[in-house]
Amino acid sequence: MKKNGMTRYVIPSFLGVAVLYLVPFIIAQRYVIFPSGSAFTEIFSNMGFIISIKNTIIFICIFIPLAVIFGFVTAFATEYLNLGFWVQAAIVLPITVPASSVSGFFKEMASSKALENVNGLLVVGIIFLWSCIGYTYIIFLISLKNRDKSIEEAAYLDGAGAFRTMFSIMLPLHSEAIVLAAIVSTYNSLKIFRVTYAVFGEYPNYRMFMIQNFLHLKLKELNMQTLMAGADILLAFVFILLFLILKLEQKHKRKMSL
Amino acid sequence: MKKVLIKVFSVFIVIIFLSPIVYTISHSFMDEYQLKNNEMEMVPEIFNLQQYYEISVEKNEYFKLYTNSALITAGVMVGQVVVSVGAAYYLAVKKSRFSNILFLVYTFFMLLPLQITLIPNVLLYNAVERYIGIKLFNTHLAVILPGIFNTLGVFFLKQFFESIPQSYYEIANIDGASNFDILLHVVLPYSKNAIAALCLLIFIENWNLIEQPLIFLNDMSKMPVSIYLNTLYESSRDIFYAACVLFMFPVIYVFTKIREKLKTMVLKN
Repeated sequence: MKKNGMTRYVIPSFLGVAVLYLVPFIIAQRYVIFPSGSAFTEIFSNMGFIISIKNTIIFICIFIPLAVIFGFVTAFATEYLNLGFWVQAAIVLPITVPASSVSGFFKEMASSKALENVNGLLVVGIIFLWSCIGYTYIIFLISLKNRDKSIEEAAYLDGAGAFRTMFSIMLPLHSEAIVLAAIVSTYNSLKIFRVTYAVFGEYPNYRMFMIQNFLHLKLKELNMQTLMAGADILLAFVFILLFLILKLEQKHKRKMSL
Repeated sequence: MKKVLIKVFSVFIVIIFLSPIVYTISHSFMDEYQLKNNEMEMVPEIFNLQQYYEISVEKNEYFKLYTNSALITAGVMVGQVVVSVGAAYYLAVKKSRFSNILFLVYTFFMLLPLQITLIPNVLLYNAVERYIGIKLFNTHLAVILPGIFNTLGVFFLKQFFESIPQSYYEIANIDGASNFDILLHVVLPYSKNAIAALCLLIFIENWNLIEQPLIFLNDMSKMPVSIYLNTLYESSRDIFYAACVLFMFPVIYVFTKIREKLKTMVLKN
């Protein structure tokens, strides 16, 4: 393979990413590094920011485990009860459907009498689960289809009960899929702004005001100092996510080479 | 007995996941009166096509916005595929420290939420307007450009290009093919399905644009449908549901086309 002359294939993409994303973002760090006051102490005294961070953490702690669990349960049921094609299609379809096109249903649901006194975060969470379980479902389905069935049979012959098989064999065997599902769900939860906008508009109730909403408002105001401080905090979170993914990939490679 | 239980369970799951879609479709056939007094009713009392009629004849600005959505999606799709194929080809073939770091940076940008990646875009557009004098805000180009350089496509295609057997490259090389020939006659034909899958991902992502138009566009006549629907619910609910159905139709149509492929993909993996 001629290794020289390859660079020109990457140039358009590299230039685009550098000019549109990388360089302006690095230049914008000056708002955080040389502010009049300290940007980070200021942002932590901002009420909107505190509420948005709190809501985001609550959201992630409740709904990402739920997304993983529901995905696992539905995939498990599909595999062991041989659920038909329609079930699979119904679970995967919401991935593709735009949130704004079914917002009528969720708007009616949020304003209906049954959910009048319920926290708005729960409604956002339900829509999140509805649209994201498809991803975790596919991940677990692939993992379950590839498993070695003889292990379960051996456990059954040794007299292990259903619970024992579940916790000592199934969960450890699919631990990689569980981590992957959690990462994908976290990635999807970062895109939650779409859902909140589609159902509750640009200025939602403070109960469902998340960090994405906060950054969106600050970007509209062009309040650079607060915006960059908030963005950097979110950036650090994504950085940890990337680190986890890389660790997972390394582990996978090591497993493959064995 | 067990079979009946399984049937009940499946029907239960299907109802939960499909009810928002079915609700929207059934409401698109309701008349104005029922929509106003409705408390989560599913079935139209009188089946009529009034909503579709109004959209197509009286409120035809909807189709202008529909073409906006289509234009933006098509622009991003073509641009991103072309740019991504080149970059992915480079990253998959050339192994150096630079390419490894570049790939890491790309992966990182892929994971970032839009609320962060929009900041550099806005700063750049502001700078371009101030120093060069080209106004990018409130044009479709402002939405399409960041979409083209979204790094998801590079990430996706690079993984696939690496799975092409190394011997293919070697044989082509022995036959005297240039890098461009290899890309055109070996890599691209081999990865037709991957590129189709990428197009699908881009389509789903960009058909439902919300954040970018909110920041970059001001005029309602330039917005994609996804934003318009939100105001439509308040202003004229009598055509809202039909507008929703028309908006989700292409996505569901594509989904029904690819479901067989999806099934074999899951089984093969």
